[in-house]
Amino acid sequence: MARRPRLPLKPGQDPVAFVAKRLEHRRPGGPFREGAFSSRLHDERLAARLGLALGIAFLTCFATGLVSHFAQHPLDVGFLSTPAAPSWLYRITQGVHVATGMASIPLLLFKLWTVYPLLFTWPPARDVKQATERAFVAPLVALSIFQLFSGLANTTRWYPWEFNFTVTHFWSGWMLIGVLFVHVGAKWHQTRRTLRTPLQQTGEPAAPEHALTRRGLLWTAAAAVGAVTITTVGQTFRPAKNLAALAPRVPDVGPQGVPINRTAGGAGVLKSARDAAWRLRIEGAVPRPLELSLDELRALPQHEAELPITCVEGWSARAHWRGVRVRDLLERAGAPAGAEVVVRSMQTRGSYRSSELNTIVARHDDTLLALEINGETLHIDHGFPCRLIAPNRPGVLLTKWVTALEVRT
Amino acid sequence: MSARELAPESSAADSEEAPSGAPWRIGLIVGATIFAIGLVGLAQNARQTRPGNWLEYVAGALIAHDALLAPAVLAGGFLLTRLVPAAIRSGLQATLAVCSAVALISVPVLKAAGRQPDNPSLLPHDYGTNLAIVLALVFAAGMLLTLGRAARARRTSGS
Repeated sequence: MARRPRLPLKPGQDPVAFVAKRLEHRRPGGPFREGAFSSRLHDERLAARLGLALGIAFLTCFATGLVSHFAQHPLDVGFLSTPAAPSWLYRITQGVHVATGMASIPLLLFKLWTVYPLLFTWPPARDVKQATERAFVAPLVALSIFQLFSGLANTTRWYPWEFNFTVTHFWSGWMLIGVLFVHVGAKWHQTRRTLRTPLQQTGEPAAPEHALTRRGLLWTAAAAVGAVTITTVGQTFRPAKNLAALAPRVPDVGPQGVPINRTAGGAGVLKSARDAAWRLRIEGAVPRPLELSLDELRALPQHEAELPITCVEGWSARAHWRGVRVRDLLERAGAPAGAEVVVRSMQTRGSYRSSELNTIVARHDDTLLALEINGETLHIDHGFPCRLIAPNRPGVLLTKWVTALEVRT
Repeated sequence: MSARELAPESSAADSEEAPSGAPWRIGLIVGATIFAIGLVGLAQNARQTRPGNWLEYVAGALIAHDALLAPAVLAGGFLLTRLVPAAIRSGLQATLAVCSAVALISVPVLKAAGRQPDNPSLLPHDYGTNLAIVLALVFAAGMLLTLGRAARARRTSGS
């Protein structure tokens, strides 16, 4: 029996470096060949510039994503709770979240193209440090594509997968930002130096005649970002609405000129919403529980508010609402000043069939149970007989087909 | 300044610098921590996140890009250098890159899997027609710029 050769790895020697040294002279062919990628545009200067843009875009998406998460799952920490003013804040943060994600798609593809030859670096890693750094690149690329694809699909309500989009997109976002930090740390010195290097240095051979220059490639990436943005951002940015040829929503297409997400049919409330026996109940921790018919609600003092509906999927539309202040109803029922409210829908299923109002929102002037939109009685798909409308709040928390306000202290 | 920094210009593949110093260490510690938060969150909510299904999509994303899309783009670029006259090549490359980006982000609206018969406000357009119009406009704009530049180049070299 042949003796097993002993690994000649000395104590303390870098095992990756050891392997790398032995692999050096066994370079495979194909894309691993030296000079396999001939374009001058597979270039660190382009990678650094596109990477910087992409890094800013991803951090923007992460920050605005956190805003959206905590708007929907408030922490009981004062400074982290979503304020009621300005009323348009969530519209901006969520619009930016989706538009930045869209713009990141071409940015990412250009970035990956410039660094694609690095995938075939030989040997794959020189030492432990480089092996560690490169081990984080695979999840970085995979999670980048995953986040952008899942977000894009969600804007069109396309769910080819089995997982819950919101929860999975949220936790994957943390993972992506984590590996992005590792990558930024690893590339810090190289990127800083490279960003200071002009795209075309004096004395450096110019691009061959007619070839795309580095500057040309950056302009192309900018044009791609521009084209993608112009054709979609109109779903939230109304002046660009007529250009939004590829947007999944148009801010004035829908019943009564406002888009909707969940229809009355989809929510299973077509019958119960039209039931003449419907009453709004104000109940829970109140001395005088109330039951109000639609006519009684209409007889109460009506207030108006100009507020947007902002969907987490990136569209938003402003509307003129008219209805009863939640605060007035709470006072009629004798609710204490610091009361919080659970708004319940007549929907029997779905995770958004109720929503909570903290004290600030519950007592806000513009927090209404709306009976009218843009001067008309609410369409059943907008939440007839009445729906919640409140400032700076994700659309999924603007509960429709309201049947009860449950007061908690 | 290290020898590497003084090295002559080279492609990204050759000039990859080893990670080093405080940024690398801080990035690794902070980044790995944030990554772990995400991983734990994903695992704790396994009923909703379906890690097996999630992994299929994450790994699938990597394969779809690295093994399919990127080689296809490179092959397209190679064909372009063979088939297209040099004078308009770079312009056509750039134009096609922009067109591809627009076409790619349009896949979900074209597929329109989320369309609901009782909700006309969702996916209200005829996206096939719209995409054709957008691509035609982008292509026309790109070609106008390209041909204009080629004509200018001919004039200056001819005079």
